[in-house]
Amino acid sequence: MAKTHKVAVELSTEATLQLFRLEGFAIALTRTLDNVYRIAISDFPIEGELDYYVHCTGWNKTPWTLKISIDGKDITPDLVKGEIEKGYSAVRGSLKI
Amino acid sequence: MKKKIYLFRLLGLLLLFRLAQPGQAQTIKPIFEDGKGRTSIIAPLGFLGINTENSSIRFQYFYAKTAGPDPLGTQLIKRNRFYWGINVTGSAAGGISNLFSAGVFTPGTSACLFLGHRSLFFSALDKEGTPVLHGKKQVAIEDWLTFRTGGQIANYTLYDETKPFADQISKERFRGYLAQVAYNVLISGATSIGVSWDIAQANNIDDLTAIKFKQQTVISAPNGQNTRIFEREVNAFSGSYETTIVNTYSLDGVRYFTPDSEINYALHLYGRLRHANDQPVYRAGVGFYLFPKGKVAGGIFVESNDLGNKISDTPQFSKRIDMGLTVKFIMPSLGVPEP
Repeated sequence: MAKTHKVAVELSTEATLQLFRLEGFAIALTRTLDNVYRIAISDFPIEGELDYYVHCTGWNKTPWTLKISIDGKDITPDLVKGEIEKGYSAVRGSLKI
Repeated sequence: MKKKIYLFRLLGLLLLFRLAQPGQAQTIKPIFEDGKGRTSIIAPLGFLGINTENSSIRFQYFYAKTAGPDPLGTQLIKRNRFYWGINVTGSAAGGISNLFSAGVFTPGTSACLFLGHRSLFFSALDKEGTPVLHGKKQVAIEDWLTFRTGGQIANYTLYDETKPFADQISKERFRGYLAQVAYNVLISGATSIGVSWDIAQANNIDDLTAIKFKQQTVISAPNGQNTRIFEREVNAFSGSYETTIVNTYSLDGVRYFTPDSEINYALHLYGRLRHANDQPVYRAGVGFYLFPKGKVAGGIFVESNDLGNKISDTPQFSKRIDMGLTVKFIMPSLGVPEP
């Protein structure tokens, strides 16, 4: 059984974040005052690498950046970044923890 | 008056302080407005901005939630497409074009609540979470419908020289309201079209003349030998002040160009049909904006406030053309995330 961790996610963008997935699970993030979508999960099961998926829509060339912390440690010191093209950006990737 | 200025500045500083943290985004896109600050393209995001186009300081909070797991526990997702927010604008009431008119500070605050629904006719993602793309070029189409309602308060000092001396100066408190329904679509991240209808209670403060004079009060001592003269400066508006119910139909089109360079640019075409006192007035304009990869965006706009010459004093079309420069700042400390 996968060990559970405390996960904090911050996705900064002026675009509209449509869907965010972690390890294949759709996770509802809430947009806050500063256009950062945030969520904190206390017991999230992670096995090996952490898979993520970001789908944004909006004006072209609008950037987005993803920051994830696990048990208080930032695992994205080099921010995961993307940019809108043809009205959207859908990026899948994985992070070593 | 001074107290109001300080309060206004304090509000601005508080908002700046709240947002002045690293990694936070600040928008420049809601620049697509006409000379009166009106638009049918309602930006689905939060922002704090200074817009020199209509000299307003504005703040918008936007609440939205991304898609989440289906509550029924299936592999499908629940698309959370509802959003709401508040928008507060500190500017002169009645659509006046400057906060400082002829050196006179004419404050007005408008606040509105909006709520809406995105992906009304064009889904951004299907129920399994896959992006929905359209056409041969496989582009995304995003749309949203917004209902906006709010109010506006402003205080004016009016001067009417035709009245008896004692009644020439009066105070007027304007309480206006606005209700708007707007539909926006964004195609391929580059073309946006907005249509809206709104009803508002407006005043004609824009058409009045700003004047400044000194008011003296002379008080004589009981012995009749001494007098004391109190003097104060009065800023007022001269003319016949009126309020009306105005229906406005708006159409906005924006084409955003993103070449392989540091500078992006946009073309904004707009038209307005304004119905007040059974008198239709057409207004149209064009704006061209530059978006360098920095902290300032700016542009130029040209508009005619009265295409059909219904309310103007002059039949000469060129004299019914307004031209303006607009600059939108991004506060350096707010930090836009770089791609």
